[in-house]
Amino acid sequence: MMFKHWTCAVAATLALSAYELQAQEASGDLNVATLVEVSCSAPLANGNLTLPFDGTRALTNQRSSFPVRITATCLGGTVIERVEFGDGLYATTDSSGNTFNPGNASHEHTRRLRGQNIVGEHIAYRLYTDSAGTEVLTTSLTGQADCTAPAPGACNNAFYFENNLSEVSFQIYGRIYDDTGSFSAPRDIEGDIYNDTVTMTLFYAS
Amino acid sequence: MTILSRVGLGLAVAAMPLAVQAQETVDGNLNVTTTVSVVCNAPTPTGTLTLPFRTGIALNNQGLDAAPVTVTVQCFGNPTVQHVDFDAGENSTIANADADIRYMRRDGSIDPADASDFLGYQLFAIAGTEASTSTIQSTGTTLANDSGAATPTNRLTINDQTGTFSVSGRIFEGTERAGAFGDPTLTASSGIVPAGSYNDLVVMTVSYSG
Repeated sequence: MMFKHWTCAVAATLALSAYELQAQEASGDLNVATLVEVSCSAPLANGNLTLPFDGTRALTNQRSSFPVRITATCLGGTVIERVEFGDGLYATTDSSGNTFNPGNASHEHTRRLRGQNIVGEHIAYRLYTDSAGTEVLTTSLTGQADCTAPAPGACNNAFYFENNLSEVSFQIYGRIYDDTGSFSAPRDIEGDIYNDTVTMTLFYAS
Repeated sequence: MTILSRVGLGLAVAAMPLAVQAQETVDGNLNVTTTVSVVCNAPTPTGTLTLPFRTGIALNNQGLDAAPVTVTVQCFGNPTVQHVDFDAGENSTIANADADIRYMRRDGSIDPADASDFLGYQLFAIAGTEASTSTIQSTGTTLANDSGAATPTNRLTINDQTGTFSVSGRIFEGTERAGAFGDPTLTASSGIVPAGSYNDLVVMTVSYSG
């Protein structure tokens, strides 16, 4: 009897233990997260774009500059689509001899440098994506063909990228190109240092 | 709990294509610059100023050259050409030299002390292009060689953005030099001048502001 009791007691204990194990099982979710932010660096030029000026050459036949390299990098799987070039600070102004005659059909696609010491003196110039000076980065002022080339819906004041790049590096050239008629000869341009700042806008998809 | 998680993932996947469409921008600056220098090239004459010499005419009464020399100063950066200074030439230090005239030296001469190897002349200049030598002489500037004076008379004033000027001249001696040609006001003085080719070189210095 005594033995039976023991048996029962053990059986009861085992049964109880099994019950207790089942009661302690529970599931829960562990949420693990991180945030990879999308970010792009501002387009960065490796220096000033310095345009050569030769007083013995026509203002529409000046030499092309050495290139400036522009780089930009995006993080977070971002794809860079294009870099657009603004009109600069003085595209709506003109040289002293031709004031209030901003970009039009007769001198389209030109931005302008402004003399830092001589008020009102401006020289027109162009930006190019090739050293030969055939691929012009236009301005938005002309209203001509800016967004029909290189393809419909694309603007040719921009440098476009293919292949889903997240890091880009390209070169820009420039040269004095003044067909505004403001100067009868290159030697008539006042001696000075002329400057402009063009905003480069990086477009990317996140 | 498990079911809810799957639903959440499904929404996230569905939302991704929409997020890719979003386009954002970031700006940077490209600085563009050029320098237009102010500079003038050396004065460029159209040729040599050739002065006529005639025997039988006193050395103080020789004629002007047939045609003036036009001198061009090409400048860039649109400066104002202020004036041109003519130096005294290569023979201004000869003995008994007249301070108001320059001297040409006879080719092949050996003795620099031989006064007869040097022949005096005058220069005249006027701003702009002038074809008449007599006009240059009468209305232009007689270019002496007192460069050190407070108001130098070897200077042609221009003050214009066009640096062209015209130069004329004539053989001229006004005062007698020992060992040279006697009294230059006499007709006979020209007959004493030794035959030969005479030359001088005058340096023109342009001053401009820019």
